[in-house]
Amino acid sequence: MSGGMSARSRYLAPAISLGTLAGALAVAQALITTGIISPYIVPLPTDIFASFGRVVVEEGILGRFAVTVGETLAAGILIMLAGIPIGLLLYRFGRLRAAFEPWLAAIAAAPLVLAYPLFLVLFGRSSLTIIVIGFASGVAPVALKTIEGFASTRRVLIDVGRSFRLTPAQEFRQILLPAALPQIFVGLRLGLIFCLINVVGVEFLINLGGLGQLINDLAERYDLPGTYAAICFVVLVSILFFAVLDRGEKWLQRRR
Amino acid sequence: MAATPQVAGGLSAVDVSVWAIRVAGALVLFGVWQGLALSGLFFRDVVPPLQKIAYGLPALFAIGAFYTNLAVTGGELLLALIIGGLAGLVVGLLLGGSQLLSDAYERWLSYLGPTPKIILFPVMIMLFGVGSSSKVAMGAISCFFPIAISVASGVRGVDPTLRRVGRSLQANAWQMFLKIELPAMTAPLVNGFRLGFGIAMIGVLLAETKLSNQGIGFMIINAYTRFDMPQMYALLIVTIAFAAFVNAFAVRMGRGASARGRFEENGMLKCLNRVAKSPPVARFVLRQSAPRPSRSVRVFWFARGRASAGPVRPCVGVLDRNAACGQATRYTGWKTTMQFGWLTLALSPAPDEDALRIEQQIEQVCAAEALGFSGAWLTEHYFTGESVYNDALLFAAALAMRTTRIRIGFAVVQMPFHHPIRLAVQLALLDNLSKGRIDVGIGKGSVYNEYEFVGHGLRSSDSRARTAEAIEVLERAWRETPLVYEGKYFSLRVPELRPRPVQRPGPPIWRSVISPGSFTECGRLGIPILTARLPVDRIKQRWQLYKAGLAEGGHDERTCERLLAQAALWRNVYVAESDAQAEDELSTLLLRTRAHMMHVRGEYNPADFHIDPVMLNPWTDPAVGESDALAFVLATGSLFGSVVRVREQITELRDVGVRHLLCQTGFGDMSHEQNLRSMRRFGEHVMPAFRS
Repeated sequence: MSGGMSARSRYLAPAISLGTLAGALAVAQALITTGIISPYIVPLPTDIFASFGRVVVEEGILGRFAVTVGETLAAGILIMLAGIPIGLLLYRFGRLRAAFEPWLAAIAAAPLVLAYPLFLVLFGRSSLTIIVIGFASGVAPVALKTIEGFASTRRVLIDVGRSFRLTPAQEFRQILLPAALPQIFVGLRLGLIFCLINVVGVEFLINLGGLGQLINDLAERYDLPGTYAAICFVVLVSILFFAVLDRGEKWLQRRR
Repeated sequence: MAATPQVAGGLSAVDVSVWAIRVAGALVLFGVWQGLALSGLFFRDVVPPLQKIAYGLPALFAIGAFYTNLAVTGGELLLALIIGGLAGLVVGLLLGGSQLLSDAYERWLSYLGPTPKIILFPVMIMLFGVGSSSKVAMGAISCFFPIAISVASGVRGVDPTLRRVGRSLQANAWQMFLKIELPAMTAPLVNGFRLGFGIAMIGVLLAETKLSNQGIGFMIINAYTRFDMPQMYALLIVTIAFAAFVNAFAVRMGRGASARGRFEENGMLKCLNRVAKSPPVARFVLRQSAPRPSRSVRVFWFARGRASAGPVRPCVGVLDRNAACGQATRYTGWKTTMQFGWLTLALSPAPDEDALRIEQQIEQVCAAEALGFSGAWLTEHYFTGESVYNDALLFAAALAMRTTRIRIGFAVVQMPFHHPIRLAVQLALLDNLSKGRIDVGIGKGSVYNEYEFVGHGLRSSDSRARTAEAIEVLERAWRETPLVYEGKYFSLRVPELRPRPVQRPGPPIWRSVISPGSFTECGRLGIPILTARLPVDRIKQRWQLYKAGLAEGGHDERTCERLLAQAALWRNVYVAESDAQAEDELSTLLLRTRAHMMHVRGEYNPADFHIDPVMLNPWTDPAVGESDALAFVLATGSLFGSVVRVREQITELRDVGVRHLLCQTGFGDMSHEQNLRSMRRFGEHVMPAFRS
């Protein structure tokens, strides 16, 4: 489908894409300078660009970035430590799986972040709350994908292992785990994405911590160009994060 | 759903134990909760005992403000879904419909989609104020992305067959969208809205918790500030349960839709059925869209094959008996799709069976039409039951009356056995009967079956010269009025050839080519080509020769493109349940066919006749043993196996440039049913993979 990208569209598409962006910015700039859109609602794109430096230097954006990434990674590690064993447990015991897999799917689909006030009450207004919410939003997909990974191990591989009289531990290490890894990585990628979204979102909502708080802070100070610049920064960071995860997953798959 | 090896034994016992585990799990959770609540480890009501939570729910339902706030949030959510959904739908349709737009913009969607939308809330407040509008905007932005992404991929996932059906019925853009694309993409659409709903709900409610004085989100955060834990729990339970309910409902709907949308099994029939059920298009009076005024109105209807109780067949026809109607059935879409022609070389094993076999051949052609083959190609052989109808032209007339869309081709007319003028007249009539669906492959007669010449009172020694002259007469007969011809074999004067063929100047004349030189020659002259058993590794080179010839001939780009796409390769095709089954069954059939061929040639060819050694290969050389012959024909001229394997083999051919495949699906005295089964597997599961 998208595999056969013609030579024309290989150059034309990015040109259109960038052109649209540049065009939209130029139109916005024109509309605001002529006063059709109030600069107190949407700041000039040039002002937004100009305030990037200020936001980076004065607001300590790199430190905040580190906080957000730290929270995400902490939650990510918890997700890995809990999600994979849960998945493995449910895979090993078929009845447990039959009983609880639908529950996991329900948790994965539930809008858990809405319960952030509850987590605030339980864990206080601290980084811990943010990490727990990040964890809660990412653990179910990892567990589900882990089950899927193990369960989709080709029967013939397991039989081959049996014919070599592998012990259960050997069978796990040499057959089940390698077969399940790709799916587990897919799960981890999803889990980390959900995790980051919720971490930033909750930072913004409870005005605590890293990048999310910065946006809230700047908005409350009515620093419009700064707010827009910070939002752009967060969007860029998220895109970078997704791209890195995407690449990482592909790289791991190739290495196998 | 999860049948792992451990889950064995009676099903009901398993169900019971699963439920027991669930109940036990729930009890453990509740127990732990209650224990924590009563332990005094947590501050006051942070972890309230279960009974307090249980009382909280009815208490919540008793508050009047709950319903006002519910209405506010519900309204915001609905509006957000409508706005974001419509925007997502439009954008998705645009992106899905255009590769260029998709390349340019879809990356934005997939990257921006998962970013945390709530951070845009300050912007929304500035744009839309602190009231409901900013919440609606949050919800709309949130749900726009998953809906647009799902719709775009849904549009791309619509089976190209369905679109082709729509196009061949000349549905206008709106009918195409409403009757074909929309139903076919119901599943991704429902899924997109399901995801969109969940995310819009999060967007709206979070925005309400952040800055608002009404709505469920406001109630939640308010309960938090008042430290009214039971109410907060009740609100969260209600909200999450509502989300779960909508989600489950949408999943079920999506499943229903995808079950309904599974078109592969019945191909276009289902789609056509749906089109037929709805009155505006029921008789499908499809105006010939511009540029020509609607003189030729197309209609379509359903018919059941007369002899078989088989499936309903969609039929397309032209109401107006206008010469231009023929144009409508011209090939379309040569450029992007791979075309599959169906070819018959059926053998009737005994004179008693001839009548039945002929009737079955007609049914096979009707089936080929219903399965979406682009052409039915008839071979011509005499005297042994091979090509059971023998007279391909008369047989084609019958087919012209029984089919409506499929083109009817000859692969090939044995020219020495036909007087060129008589042939020109017959083909012209056929072209009228079929409304311009005739293709004429021409050959100089069999190089193996000399008995066919002898039976017509001829010998093959002068067949080349005779054929060359006859082709000239045939082509000129459709062009020149009057035609005066003086040749070695034919001297004649024709005042005017009537009836005039529908296709101008006449039905396309195809040449059967084997030697490298003839590829170049046909390319130079701009003649469409048919080629038989050619090993894969030689196809590319021969196609290059044809291309070089086309370039040399100085044809315009469109003609070159069309001729290259039309260049047809003949293959044996047999699709079975498994690769092994296919190989076994096809081998048996091929060997029986070869035995028949060798027998009749040995028996009937005159003693002084020797096959030109150039034309001998392991399959046609009687000196080669059966196993070598079989190995040769399986390797160089046959596509066989399970659906998956045949797809691979066709991919291989497509990759070397073949875009038109003539599929011989019947071999020797193969039974009608076996042939139909294989055709069906091929038509329903292999062909659709090569239509885009």
